[in-house]
Amino acid sequence: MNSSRKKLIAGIAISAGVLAGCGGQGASTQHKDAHSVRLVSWGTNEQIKLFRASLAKFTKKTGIAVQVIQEPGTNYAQKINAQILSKSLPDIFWCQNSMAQDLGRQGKLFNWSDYASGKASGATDAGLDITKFSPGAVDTYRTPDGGLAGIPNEANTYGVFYNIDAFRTAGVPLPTADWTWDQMFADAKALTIKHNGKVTRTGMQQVWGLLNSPPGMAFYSVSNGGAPLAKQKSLVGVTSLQADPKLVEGTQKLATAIKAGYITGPDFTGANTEGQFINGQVPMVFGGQWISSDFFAAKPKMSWGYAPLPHGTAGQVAPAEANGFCSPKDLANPTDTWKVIAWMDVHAFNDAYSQDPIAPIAYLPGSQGYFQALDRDGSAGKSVADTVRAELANPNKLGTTLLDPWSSKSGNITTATWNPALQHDKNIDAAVHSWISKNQALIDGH
Amino acid sequence: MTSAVTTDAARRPAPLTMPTGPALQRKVPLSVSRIAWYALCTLLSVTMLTPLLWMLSIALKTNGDIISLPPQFFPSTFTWRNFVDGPREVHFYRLLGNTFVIALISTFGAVASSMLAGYAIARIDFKGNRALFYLFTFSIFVPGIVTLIPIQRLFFSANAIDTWYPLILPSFFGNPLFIFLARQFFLSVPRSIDDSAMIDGAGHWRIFTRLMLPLTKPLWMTMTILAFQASWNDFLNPLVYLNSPSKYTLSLGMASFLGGLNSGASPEYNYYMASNLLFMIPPLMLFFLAQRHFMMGLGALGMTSK
Repeated sequence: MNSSRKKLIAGIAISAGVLAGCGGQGASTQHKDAHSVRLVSWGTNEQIKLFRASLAKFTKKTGIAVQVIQEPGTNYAQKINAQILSKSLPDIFWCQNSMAQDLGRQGKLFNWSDYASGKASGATDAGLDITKFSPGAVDTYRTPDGGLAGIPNEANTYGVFYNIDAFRTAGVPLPTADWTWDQMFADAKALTIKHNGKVTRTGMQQVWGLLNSPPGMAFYSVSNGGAPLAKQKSLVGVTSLQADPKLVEGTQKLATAIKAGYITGPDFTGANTEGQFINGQVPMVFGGQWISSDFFAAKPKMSWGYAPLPHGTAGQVAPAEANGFCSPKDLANPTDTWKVIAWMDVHAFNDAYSQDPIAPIAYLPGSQGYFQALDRDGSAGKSVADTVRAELANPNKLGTTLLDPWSSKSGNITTATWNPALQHDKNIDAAVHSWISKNQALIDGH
Repeated sequence: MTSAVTTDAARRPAPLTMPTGPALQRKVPLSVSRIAWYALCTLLSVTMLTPLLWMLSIALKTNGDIISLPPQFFPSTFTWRNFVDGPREVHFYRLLGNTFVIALISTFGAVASSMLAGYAIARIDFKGNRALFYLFTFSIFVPGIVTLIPIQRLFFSANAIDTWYPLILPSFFGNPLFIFLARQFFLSVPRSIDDSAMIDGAGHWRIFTRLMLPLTKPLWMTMTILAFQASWNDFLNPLVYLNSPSKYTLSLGMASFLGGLNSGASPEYNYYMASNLLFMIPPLMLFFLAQRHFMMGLGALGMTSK
């Protein structure tokens, strides 16, 4: 083949590629096809495969085609914002509480209220019963004006992973389903190892920063009979914040433990925590249930379990936190889209998470597959399942993060006032009140 | 006679050949500075190569091996299949084709437009060419993120969402840094060349294509490497503009290994690293093929000629 022919072929190949890539969808890519729904997920490659397999059954049953598109989690919010600007949002996209609240209040999301309540035509046919969600999960998607900015899907629960062998070696009783905050602090202390006053093993590492945050310490406060951070327990539409003495008490205990090296503080990144736990080097890890999938996959040599958030004198409080499905305001075909959302919550997660257990589903009947998968993982799996079940079923829920628009600036206040107090055991009472008053100023000024 | 021969030999210049025999056997003493230089080079090599070797190590490991502590450099089992299964997870070869097309056209656009603009500013006298040059130079310092939103809005209003146009077209409007480099390089080429060519009847296009392009090969090879690498590694623009998986680029495919926001399971790092090593090969090959010109291009940028 002479060189000019090669160039010609290369030119044709590139031109064909360009033509293929430059064929656009036009101004708006909101799906107008009555029997086709686009769903965007940030799931892993494996999850996407499993969702597609389940939705193929849905398509066979209903005739509604579903295109599942995987988007990277990196810069996900930027991607969604770009799609809003270009009016090319998919019919359904994965969202978090904070994203749903933010976009919902801006009027950019479809309000699912009528479908959730069954008032919309065809809503009840889909088989999603809004009363069967984990208590508090739907509340985090309700906007202050009464709208419903999304439908929850994967729920998160929090607790403490513990190394049974390390507890036994140290002669410390294992955490139980009704263990207390004081036991948690005492266990972390008992399992910390120091040499010449220097910590060589921290009793409890925090791979997720919930406990170190003001909403996290509200769990201590409420479970010990104190008040939550705000009367709006889901932390949506907060009008005033309060510093209960129990909040100060819990924060003081945590700060003391952090300063003594028993528990890691806000600056701890937790990058190696999972690996260290799997290799038996960390006795306790505070984190969400999703970490357990790594522990199961690694098959560690030691025995381990998962304890729920500790009890206080007034019982136990569980987190209200879930990802969800959101849709654009000008959704072309809400009824078909609602059917897809319902299928995902009722069937697809059961199908997928029975093989790849990542998270329970806020729609409780949709968690069966997840729990079936945990059953295959012996006593550790049972321990995780028990904790997750208990927290999902617990009606006493608190939001895990501030969700109102003003809260985007709250992180700076936490960094400047709360975190230094935790790590240096400064005047905790003053630090808590300073955090409250500065955030209250944000609310008042918004 | 003998004396004359001796005299001639003494006058003859020393041959320009490498010393042989005893001269080669003479050991050069290892001075402290040489040892320090080698030590520094070794240290730099190690710091640069270790991450790459660690990538290879992870790419060959099983999931269990990756999280073992203390970390082991050599995998307990060499899992070569990761180089097949990993790329398959993200439709690697389809995305590779997309990325090649976008990167090749963008590179051509960036280099051609910048060379032409650089030539015009350096060699054609027109009113405001200095101001134009400063304008380009100033725009080097404008962060890309600042221009992202207006450019996005422009393409959105032009209905160019989910096409490759936003990834390709901007490169045809010149790269400020490349224009700066081109202008500097063209200034180093003697004016007498243009003058001679013009006397022979050549216009600017002929001078540019027949004289300047061959003379500035190190420059545009350098630009080609930089432009290709920038387009190849671009993540944000494909993320923002592309919605259909069939049009995705490899950078988006690589990111899909990392999973979602607190979606749970740790990424399949072995697949991720195996695919990333393959992802690195094209720009690396381009660099090695053109590295001689790249070095010359960088070295020649400081010179100017009137």
